[in-house]
Amino acid sequence: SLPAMFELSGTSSYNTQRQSRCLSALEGDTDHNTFVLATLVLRGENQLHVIDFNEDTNEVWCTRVYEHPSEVWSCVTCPAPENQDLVITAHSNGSEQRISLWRMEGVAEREHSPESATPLPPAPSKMPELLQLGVPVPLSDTRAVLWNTVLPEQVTTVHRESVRVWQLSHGAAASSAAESGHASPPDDERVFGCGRWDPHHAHALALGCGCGLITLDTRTMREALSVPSAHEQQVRCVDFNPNKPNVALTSGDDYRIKFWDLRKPSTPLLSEGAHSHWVTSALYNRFHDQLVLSCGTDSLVKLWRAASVSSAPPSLELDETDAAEDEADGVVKVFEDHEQSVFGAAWSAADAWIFATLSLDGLAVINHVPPAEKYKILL
Amino acid sequence: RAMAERRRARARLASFYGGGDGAAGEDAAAEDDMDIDGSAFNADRYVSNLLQYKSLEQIVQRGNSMVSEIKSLDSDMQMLVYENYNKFISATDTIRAMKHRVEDMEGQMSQLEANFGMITSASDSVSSAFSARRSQLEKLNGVKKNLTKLQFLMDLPARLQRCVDDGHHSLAVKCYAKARRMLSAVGHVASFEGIRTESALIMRNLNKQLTARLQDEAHLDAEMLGDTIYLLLKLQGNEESLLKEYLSRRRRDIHERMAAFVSSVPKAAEDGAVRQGEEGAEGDGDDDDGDDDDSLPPAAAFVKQLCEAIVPQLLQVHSAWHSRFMGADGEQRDDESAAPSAPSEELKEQMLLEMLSESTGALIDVCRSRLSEEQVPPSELLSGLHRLLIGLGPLHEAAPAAKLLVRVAKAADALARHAIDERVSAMQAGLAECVANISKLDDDGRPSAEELHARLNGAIASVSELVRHALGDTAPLLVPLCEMINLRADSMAKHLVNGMYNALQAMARAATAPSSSARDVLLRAGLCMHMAAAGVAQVPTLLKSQLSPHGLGGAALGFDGAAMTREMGRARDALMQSFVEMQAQKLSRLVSERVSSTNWLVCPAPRAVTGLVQLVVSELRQMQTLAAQLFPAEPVRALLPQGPFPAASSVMQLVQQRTRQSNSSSSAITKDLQRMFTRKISFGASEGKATLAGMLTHVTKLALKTMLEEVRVATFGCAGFQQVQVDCSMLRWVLAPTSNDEEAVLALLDEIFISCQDRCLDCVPMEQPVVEALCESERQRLLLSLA
Repeated sequence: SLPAMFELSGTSSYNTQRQSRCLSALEGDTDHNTFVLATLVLRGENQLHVIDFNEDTNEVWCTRVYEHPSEVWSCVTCPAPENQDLVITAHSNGSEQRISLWRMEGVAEREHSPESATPLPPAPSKMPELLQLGVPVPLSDTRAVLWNTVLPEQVTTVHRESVRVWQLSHGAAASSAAESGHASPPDDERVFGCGRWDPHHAHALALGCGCGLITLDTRTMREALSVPSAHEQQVRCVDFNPNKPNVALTSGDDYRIKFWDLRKPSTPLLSEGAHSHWVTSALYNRFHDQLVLSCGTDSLVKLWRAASVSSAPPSLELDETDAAEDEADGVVKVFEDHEQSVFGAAWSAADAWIFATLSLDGLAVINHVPPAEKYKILL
Repeated sequence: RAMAERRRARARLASFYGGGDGAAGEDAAAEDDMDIDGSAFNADRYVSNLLQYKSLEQIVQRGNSMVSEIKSLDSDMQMLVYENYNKFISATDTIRAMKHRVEDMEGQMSQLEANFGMITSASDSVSSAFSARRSQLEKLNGVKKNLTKLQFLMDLPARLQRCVDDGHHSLAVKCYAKARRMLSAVGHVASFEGIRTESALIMRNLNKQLTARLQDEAHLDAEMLGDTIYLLLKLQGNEESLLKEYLSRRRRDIHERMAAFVSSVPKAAEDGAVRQGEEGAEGDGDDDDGDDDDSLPPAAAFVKQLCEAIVPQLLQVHSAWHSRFMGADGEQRDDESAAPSAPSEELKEQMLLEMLSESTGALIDVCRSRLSEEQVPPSELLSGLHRLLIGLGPLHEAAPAAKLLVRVAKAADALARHAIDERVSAMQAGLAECVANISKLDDDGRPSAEELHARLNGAIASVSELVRHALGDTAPLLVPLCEMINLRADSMAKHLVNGMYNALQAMARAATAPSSSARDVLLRAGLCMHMAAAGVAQVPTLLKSQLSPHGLGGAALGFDGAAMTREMGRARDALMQSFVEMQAQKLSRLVSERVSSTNWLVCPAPRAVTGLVQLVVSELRQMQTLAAQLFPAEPVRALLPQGPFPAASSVMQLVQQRTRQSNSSSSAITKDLQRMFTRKISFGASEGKATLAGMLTHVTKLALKTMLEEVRVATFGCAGFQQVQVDCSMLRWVLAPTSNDEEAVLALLDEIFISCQDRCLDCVPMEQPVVEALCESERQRLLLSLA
């Protein structure tokens, strides 16, 4: 089987050939559509795959493979361009879980176009482990690792019953980390599930906590805003509107995605029954907040239009019923490329219209926003 | 035969009168030539026709009858001749008698002539004898007349003064008016000038006095006011402003009366016996007056009394206006130097109508506001409007131009619509309440299936009762009311039908409002299901049976039953889906909590099926009991292990084989398994008609999917894996046969098994007989718990 496939449909995919949960854009490289995939194999070899996508030729290929000692439950890349080769993973070996900072050596020097038409993945190389954040924790304790996009020296680790903020510093010889803050869930009943740094406020952190959503001021480690019951079940993903402060998007195990104005926690701005099982991820497009990507354990990936709760000005042609119907909030497109539950999703760091999704069977699919929708937003 | 007789007579008459009149001529032309009595009769054709088409026997018969006809014609002719001869003889007798009497008359006439001659000559002689004195008498007569006039003028000031003093203002004004003409004729004589000024002074005083009275006394009674204004007019007052003053005063007075009346009548709300008179009101459309106010409902009594108080006043205004300020009175005025400001007759009529219609409008408004009060039931409204019509009847007859009845009709129309709206909105509120209360329980406990069933039926019954009630309530507002005021009843009926439709639509909306209770959602779904299946269809039937007898069946067709059924169907589907989703989420949450809170690494070796299975089964069973209310016809599949314990699935067998062979390349095993058995399962809501089994299957699938995803994030020790193996086997035994989508359920269970062995550090599957034994004991337990 070929690792990279070229299809006329515009869908490009890559398979890690192993069970995988984590997908992250290479945040520090805003010139290339590059994603990092991490495998989840309990009793076997694990790897990080760096894949590149060329939007002109619709080709996707693996540029780097790194060995990883154990299965990866969480994986984030450094948002600072000068440290684009840094990656943090939360990984477990069957008895305990660790969080490590690695350097993906040679990532910056990778070839951006394939030499042959059907390149094979390169041989796995080792990557140095720079440090570990904290001590080992019990299995499935770490829920997320979050790199602050505004202050790239700041990293948060979200655990079931605590959230920790770390200050990283990268010296010439070695990197070091110091815990600068620590907080527990507001009550014993609930545990943390997910989180996201606020791009508009450098010290604000949103955390999914049981069925609720809270924001934390990391200077004081105190709760700032709270949406007590954001979902019927566990909140699985939270994202901030990139253009509109205090507007967030959550997804949960109750099959829904919801848009919130965090200052009005009683009712969501918009609520959609998005999938027929858990919604594992719901992400705003990095530039156009009327576009939202969601994926779920029903193996579907959906692209949504949520213009009414976005920063986009309302359409001027509302009097034309056709136009209004065409621009109503709802699904733009359903992508059915995956056969298994989809856990990873990310927008490209380089191109506003490209995103990648990863299903449990290791299949990563790179897709475009449909041109019709793209032009509707641009024109 | 009678026809033939008549036709013959007519033909005879026609021939007598020349047959010239158009109708007869046309008749003849129209008659065909086969008519033996017709003028166009063609004997040859008739005969040839007979010969051609009739049998011999018939022809002989026809011949015989013709002979007898000819005989009867002959005798008729003889009769006619005889009658004419008789008349001729009596005419001869008459002429003879006349001749004899004329001869006597001649002598008497000549005597009469002589008498008249004598009378003429006598009259001539008398006339010549009197002619000498006649001119003298005439002169005397003239002198006497002048003297009388003189006397009148001389006395005038004194008389006027006396009249004014005695309060006979009208007499004074009449005298003055008479005198003024005379005075103006002789005004050049100095001595009369004195009289003139003196009387003018008196009259000016009188004028002042009257004006003062008008200004000072705000509440002159109607008669007095009329008099005063009338006199002031006679005294050359400004007609337009005076008339306006009159009307505005009368108007004010009437308004005050109305206000006084309204404030004196206690509000309906305080009236204990609001509905007391309702029965009396039913039949009271026919008998006009004379029934006691007690037998009238309060609002109708109010209207009646108000009309009795106000309408006579208005009638008085009307008659006073006509008698005093219009008509003959105007003619008198012509020979005076008509004041340039005097309004024309039409203008005056106009002023009166304005005033009348304004006041009546106020009256109608008062009645309207009373009748639109909430406590007024439609029958009472009908009776009240009836009273208003009766009350205003005389006024309408007096001044039809004011179009009072049109205003009443307008008010009635608005009132009726308002009342219909009120009834319909009451019904809507009732429906909403019905929906809201459908699952409200007196006690907190779980209701039994019978209770739920009773509740659903109760809600269904009360919905249909509400609709029936609203229809019955509004009945008097349709045909009886519209007949009373000549309105088009079908537009009113359409209004009602639209209102009904909107109310039901609102009910569907209310039903789909979010609710946190699954039971609530289910019962609402049941209600909508019934509405879609039967309830909606009843409404047009009810409407038709109510409206068709009055010829308003067309309006009933305005109720779009199909659209409403669709609407209810949509509500039902949405509610069903919501119910399933709620159940699925509830069960998923429980499963999720259960799996994620277990430490699968260190759990002990399986000794029994875990609570997870019991949880899933009991939750599903509860849901089944609840939802079975909606599907009474569908057999309930018992959630129990069916048949013998199923053999291990091919996945399980494979895992067992491979793990025995080699324990090292487990990752490869997983990949093989996944490639072989993973099947994409759809979790979308099932299309088509909702069924109990379908709903249950959907919830089962979602719960198993949740279990799968939770297993995928856990890490298992050997015992943990075996426990999952046992639980999956049990679930397979119980769930697969009861499910609609057995394949999907089996696939999910297999996938759980695969994922579990994938997440297991030390994978040693349990032997099948051991698993079976554990499952069997669980089956016993389940049976016991049901017993």
